[in-house]
Amino acid sequence: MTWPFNFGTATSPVAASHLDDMFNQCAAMDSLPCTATGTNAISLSPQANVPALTAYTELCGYRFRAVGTSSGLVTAQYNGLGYLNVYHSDGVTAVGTGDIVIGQQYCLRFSQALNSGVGGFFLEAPSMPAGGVTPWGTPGGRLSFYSTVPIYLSTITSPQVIYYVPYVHQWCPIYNGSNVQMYQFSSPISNQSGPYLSMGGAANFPAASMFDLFITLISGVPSLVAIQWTNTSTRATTLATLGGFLTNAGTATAQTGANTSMSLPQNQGTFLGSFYCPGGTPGASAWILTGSGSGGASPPVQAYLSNYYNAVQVSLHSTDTGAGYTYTSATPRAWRGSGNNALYFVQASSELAYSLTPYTQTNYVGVTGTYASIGYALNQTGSLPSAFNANTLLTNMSNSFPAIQLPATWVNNPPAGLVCLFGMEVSDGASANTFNPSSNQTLLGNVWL
Amino acid sequence: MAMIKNVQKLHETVAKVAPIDGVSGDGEIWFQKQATDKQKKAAVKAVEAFVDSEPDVRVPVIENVPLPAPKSIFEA
Repeated sequence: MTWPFNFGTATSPVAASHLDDMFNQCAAMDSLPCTATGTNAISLSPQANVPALTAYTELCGYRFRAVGTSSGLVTAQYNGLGYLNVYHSDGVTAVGTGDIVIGQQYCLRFSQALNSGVGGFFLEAPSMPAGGVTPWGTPGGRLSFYSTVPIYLSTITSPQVIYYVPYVHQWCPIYNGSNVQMYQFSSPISNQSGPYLSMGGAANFPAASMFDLFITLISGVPSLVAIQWTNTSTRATTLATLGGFLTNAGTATAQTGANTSMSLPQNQGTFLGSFYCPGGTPGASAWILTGSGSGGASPPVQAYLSNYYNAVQVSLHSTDTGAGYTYTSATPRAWRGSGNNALYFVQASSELAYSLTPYTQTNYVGVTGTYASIGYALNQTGSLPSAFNANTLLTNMSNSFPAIQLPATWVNNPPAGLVCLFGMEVSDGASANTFNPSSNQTLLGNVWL
Repeated sequence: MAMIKNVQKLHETVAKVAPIDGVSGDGEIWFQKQATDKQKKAAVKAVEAFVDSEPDVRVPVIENVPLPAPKSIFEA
């Protein structure tokens, strides 16, 4: 194909209009800067000093900056010419809701073959920053009280450091204020440990307080920080989904170590889980999954670290090895009246159900009309309960059902925060029924941690 | 102290000297609210003086209850 006019071979004066034709020809080979109006029906006008072409030319482009985000099928026109449909690069899929974003620049390139020969535009989308299009996924580590073991099943009585240990991979999505990127929280790949939060027995982690754990960037380095709850059942800073993962919904003070803190901007902490500092010494937690003793595990079962991502089901059990005992009262109480006949643990959310099963035995006194029952109670304070939770009065031993006691499992979605599950008992108010005659009464729990 | 096996007998013994909710075979006593200090002391002495014995063996007795007609265990 050649130019419509060749000045170099002219042998006589030529009309100046040929110059205009040549300039328009050049313009039609590029993309013309335009001003746009309209959101879904976009009208494009050539900007100053840009030729106003009077016909569409094959593959000529019309460049503009969107003044609205499309909310339906998009059509466009240039310089008062007819509106035509706008398509993605396949020439078939129409551009529709959300495909054009306010403030971003696009180019519509005409092609006569589109829309069965009626003509239409290809949409050329803008490039995106690399971080904005890089896919991200689930955080790859697990919170643990052991620096290099993501699932630790032995006792750590009073841990003062919480680690984020590589489990399925070493990456975690973090919103850095501009976009979401996957950050490597542990390297090189042979490294079995990750960032950690050291409480160090400090007062900024008070006794009997609940915290959420987040991973965020401190000087560009993925780091663990903690935001305190209002109490053991109420978050002071709620969680919000960003890009499919949970973050801090608002700016909040976050503890970065022993007596150090920072202001964590909104959404810039990726939620990982929760932990609890029990009563006693501040700046320490507890990880005791099993135990036994008269009145239940001593010290009591306390699993005070809960993972929101990559949680695994952990078995907790507390066995009362004390002597058998009688109880006559019709007022329910914890087994043996002991707060150690319980399972104490933390749940980062209420999404994963736990199951609870007793292993116990009750001997009724053998008199018609007497009875004794067992069941469960749940609270979030740790105070000794005096009532069963609804629908958990599991077994009613009486002279009609004298000695056959089946395990009865209670499956329930936990509340988020501190969860205190007690084995409960009650008698008929008169009879000296015997509990735990075999000294092996046990509370078994399967909990996601 | 040695673990007491016959806690029901122990209960009966202690209940004669103090108002209690229960006793344990390891000597723990759960008093009712109205128990006086004098009664509590008497109860402790009763536990200390208790002579243990084998507990009564209670053989389960299944009463002659008519069985319901066979049907699904699940609600329709």
